[in-house]
Amino acid sequence: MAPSPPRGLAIWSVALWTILLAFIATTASALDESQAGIIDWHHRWIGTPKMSANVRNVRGSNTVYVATDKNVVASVKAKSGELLWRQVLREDEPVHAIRTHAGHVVALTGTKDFHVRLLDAKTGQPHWDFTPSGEGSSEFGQAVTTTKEDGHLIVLNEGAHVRKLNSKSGIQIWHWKAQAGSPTTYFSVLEANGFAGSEDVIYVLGLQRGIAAYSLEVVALESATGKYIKTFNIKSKIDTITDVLTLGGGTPHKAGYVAWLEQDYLKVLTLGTEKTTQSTLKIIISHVPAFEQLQAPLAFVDLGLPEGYTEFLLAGTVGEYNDAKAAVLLNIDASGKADIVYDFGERTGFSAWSATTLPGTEEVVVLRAYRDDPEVAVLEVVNTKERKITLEQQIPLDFDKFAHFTFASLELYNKGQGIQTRAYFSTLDGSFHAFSDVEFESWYREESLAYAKDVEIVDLPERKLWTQDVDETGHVKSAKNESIVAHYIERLTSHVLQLKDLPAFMLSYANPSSLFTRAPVAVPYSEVEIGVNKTIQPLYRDQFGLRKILIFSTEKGKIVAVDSANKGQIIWSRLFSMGHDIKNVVVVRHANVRLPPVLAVIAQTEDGGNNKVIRMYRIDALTGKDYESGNFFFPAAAWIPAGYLSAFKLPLEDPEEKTQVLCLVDDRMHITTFPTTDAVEQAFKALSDDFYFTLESKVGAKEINGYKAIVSAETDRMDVEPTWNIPFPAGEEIFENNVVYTFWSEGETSTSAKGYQAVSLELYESDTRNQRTKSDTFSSFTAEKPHVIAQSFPFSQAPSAIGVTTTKAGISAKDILFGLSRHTIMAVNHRFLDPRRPTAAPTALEKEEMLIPYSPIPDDARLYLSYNLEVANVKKIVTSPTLLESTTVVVAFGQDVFVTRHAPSKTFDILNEDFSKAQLMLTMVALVVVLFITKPMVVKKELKELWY
Amino acid sequence: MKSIFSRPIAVLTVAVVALLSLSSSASAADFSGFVVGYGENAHPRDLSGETRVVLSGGQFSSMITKEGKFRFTNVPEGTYLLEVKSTQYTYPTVKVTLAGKETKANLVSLGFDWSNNDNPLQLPLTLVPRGPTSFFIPREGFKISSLFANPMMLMMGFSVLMLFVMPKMMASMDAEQMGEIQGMQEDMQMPSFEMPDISATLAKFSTGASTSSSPQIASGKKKQ
Repeated sequence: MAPSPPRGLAIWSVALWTILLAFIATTASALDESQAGIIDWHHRWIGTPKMSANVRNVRGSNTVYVATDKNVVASVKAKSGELLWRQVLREDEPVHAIRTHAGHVVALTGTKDFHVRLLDAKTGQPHWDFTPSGEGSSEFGQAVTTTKEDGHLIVLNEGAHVRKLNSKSGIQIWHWKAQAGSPTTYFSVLEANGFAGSEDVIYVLGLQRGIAAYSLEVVALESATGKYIKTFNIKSKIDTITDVLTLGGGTPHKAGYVAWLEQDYLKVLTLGTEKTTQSTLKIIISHVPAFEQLQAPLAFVDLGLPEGYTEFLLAGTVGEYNDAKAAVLLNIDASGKADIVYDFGERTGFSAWSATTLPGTEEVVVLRAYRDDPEVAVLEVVNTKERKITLEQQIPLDFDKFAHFTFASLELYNKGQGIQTRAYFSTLDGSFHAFSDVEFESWYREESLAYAKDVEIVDLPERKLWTQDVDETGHVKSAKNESIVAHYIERLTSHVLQLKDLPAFMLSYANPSSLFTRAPVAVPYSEVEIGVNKTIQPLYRDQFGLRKILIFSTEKGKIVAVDSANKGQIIWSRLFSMGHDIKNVVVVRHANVRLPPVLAVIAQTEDGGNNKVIRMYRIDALTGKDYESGNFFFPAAAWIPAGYLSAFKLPLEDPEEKTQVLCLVDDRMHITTFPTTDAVEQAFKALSDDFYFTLESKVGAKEINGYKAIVSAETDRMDVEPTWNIPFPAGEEIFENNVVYTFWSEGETSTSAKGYQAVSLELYESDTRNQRTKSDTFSSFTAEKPHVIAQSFPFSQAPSAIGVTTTKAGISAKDILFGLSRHTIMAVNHRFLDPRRPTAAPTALEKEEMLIPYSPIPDDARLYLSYNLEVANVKKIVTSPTLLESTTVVVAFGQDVFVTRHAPSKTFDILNEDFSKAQLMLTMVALVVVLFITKPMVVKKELKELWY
Repeated sequence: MKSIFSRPIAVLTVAVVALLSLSSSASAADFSGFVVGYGENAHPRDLSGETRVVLSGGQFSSMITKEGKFRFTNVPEGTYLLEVKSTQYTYPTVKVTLAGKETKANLVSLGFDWSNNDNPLQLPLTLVPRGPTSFFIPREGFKISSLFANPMMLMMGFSVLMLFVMPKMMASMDAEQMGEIQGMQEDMQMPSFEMPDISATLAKFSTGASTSSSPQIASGKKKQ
């Protein structure tokens, strides 16, 4: 051993210790609590509200209860749009009606089952759940009303069963049933004025099927006992259920009415009698100037007024191009006849209607929401007693994002001396809005994301590139016409200016948590956009490429770009006009020097003659605007007169715009490339000899079809030819040489367990080791079959989606991501789904490979990427690699949107979050100081040793 | 396992427990039961409104009322897997057998034999959670002990220790032992670190005495 000063060595070994400290990685397999909500975000969507209810209160209600076409009943905070609670119902459980009762919410839901539930106003938990055995629901046969005296519920279901339910306990008080095989379908129940001999009456309204039309039938039941009293058969000819309205009633002391449209007449029946009045529609039309240009028959509009009110609306389409609506408000007078109250006039576009009463009075106030301008919409509030417009409010509502109104709900309340207005409305794109005349209480929820059907993930440009094009003030520079010197000076000054950020950068560098974009805690309700003025962070890539733009295409024809960081802030959205069925969104150019990323949106529409048309739009992924390049061959919009079959990118790049060439296959079996320049077509034709592709057939049973491209030299046409097809199981995930799918197993024999099974297949070129096929690729167009190893594993959960992690170089392990019907996302390492997992005692070779002995897939809540969040109805899981090999961005959507980061092999390429750079620096400094102090001491000691 | 199911749940507000009500038709039955929260004073009201009880992976599902009651209607005869989907607690899975008037419930685990009728449960079914679900791993903070558990650290520590201990050990040894060790070291190092010297090797080979001398001494020492 070399004699060295022991003290010095000790110091150096301590230094080495400290360096080693940096490499101590804690093995974190799951999420730890402090990361929850920081590396991930979750948007809870409810879908587009189609009905609403609120507790009537003169001072305004705090919440609005809504039912949506996504089968959700939810409570939304009136002032902020925050979701307070929601009940996500089954997919086969639509909501028929909601209403408030005794401060809580009554909901009628179901198809093959029928449920009446009293949901708690604060939590949404059912107080009781009434489900009649052996009964279901029918399309229009569900209704609910309350009895004035005892406050119980009268419920109708399946168009045949009427029950009185105790509203406190949900216990049935009585049950009346239509005779089996009755030709009458009942659609409404109402408590109203009785008739001689029977004062306490519930009327059940039904339509009796006749030869050509329906006729009205009214059954009177005793409210206390449900005893049958009498049937009124009213001579009438009604075409559809929407031609009938129930009005009035609500108490045993008020008359109830039924209004219906019969050919050229508006007829009104007073319940409890057979007295019918009629008004000629022509006369009504002649009294209303706006109906002069009526293009279609008049129809009823449901104003959503509670029982007791007799106001109703008749509306019709007017205008030269059927582009406007006119409406008239009618009321029923004491004689049971309908009278015109107010003419709403003609307004462009669609109108959405809602009515309520002035707080503390019985005066009916009607809201009409419409738009006649691409930028603004109008809310018009009419007091029907004073017969005048009390509010005409313009609200900014971009047509290219929201289009027309589909639903509206009005609420008026007292505040101080005045009356405040609050209006809730849904728009055609699916989003839900609230307008309030109180500042900062208007909001909107981008509910179109609840209908997301696909996502395309776009990488952002680097900041360096961004700063080259944009100066300090954020203005886009004219990059051209600058000399090199001028450019250099500008660069230098901008760098000098950037120096001011240095201290902050140093601080952030010392703080490892800056690696994780910590969202400001002050923004708890990220899914809500309040107001319209919001600042969007400059769009550039972060250090590790974790920030991306998620481009969601929705069933509603809207495209929404969401920031994967910043709690999922919406960057831009764009609604393609009505009838656009978005089929595919493809990134044709990634972020490039000076060139923004470009998306191709491929949609199918119909032209005026109901012929299918494929439309393609090129849009700038950073702004959502049309991408106009000025080049004739690259228009911002293009179309093909045929139906859509497929669209995919070709392994070709056009030399002019540096975009990837897109291949569109239409239902005529033609191929169109985009762009259609000569150079591109030649390149494609050269490729077409080996050009095969597969398509999933979604009609009927799932099937995969193989196609081959045929290029005819004579006609210069490019066609496709089907080559083969195979049936395929639904809900699978294919990656590398693996296939994973799940199914519900009823068990082959009585002893085999029932439950979900996850099946894993591994495909090899041969069953002999190292035997390869001659070709580079294993083609599904050749006769060779792969060697398949398969194994199934009991799986504890019902999966709704399967995905797999993807990393930059594919070095990290792969996790299979399961979207579960319990509204969560589970990550299972591929090792658990390895079909070679030994079922017997593992051999030495298997031990060496570290194969886990066969077992069911573990059900451990720590594998849930979404921990205890309710990520509703995950339909798809898409992952995208980042610049970090270890980490992948996971996007799960379907109804909710959940985005997180996942590292299947742990974050081996970044320092642990606990690692303190400051501590390391301090230690180093301390060591240097110690060295300087001890050096003279050692020198002195050695000198002393020499001296003596 | 059985004990937690027979534990009386006093907190249940409903004293009258609705027994399995069989509807008039024999082929389809109703099935109901209760879910309770965790802990001694758990009230079903504390359960999240998102909680669902499902049969056979979601063919039937039911919400939980404020009393903790769940109910399935129109369930055809057969055997079903009953699970509670809760974001708060972990519940056991139950095999439910509906056969005419006879209804049975047995505790089952994932992947087990379905015909096994062990662990029968009392009816009406009352599901008690096994415990709160843990979604997170505890954060591993900085610990001195974890620092020393590192093998690199142990090696380093050992070498540093030897740095101080070795000179003292050397000092305490007598001259004879020192010589022996040095001799051993030289022997060990000879073949490995130097190029073989042919003449020396041959000389050693011919005499044969000197090479075997030190092992002999060493073995002799041990015998003493």
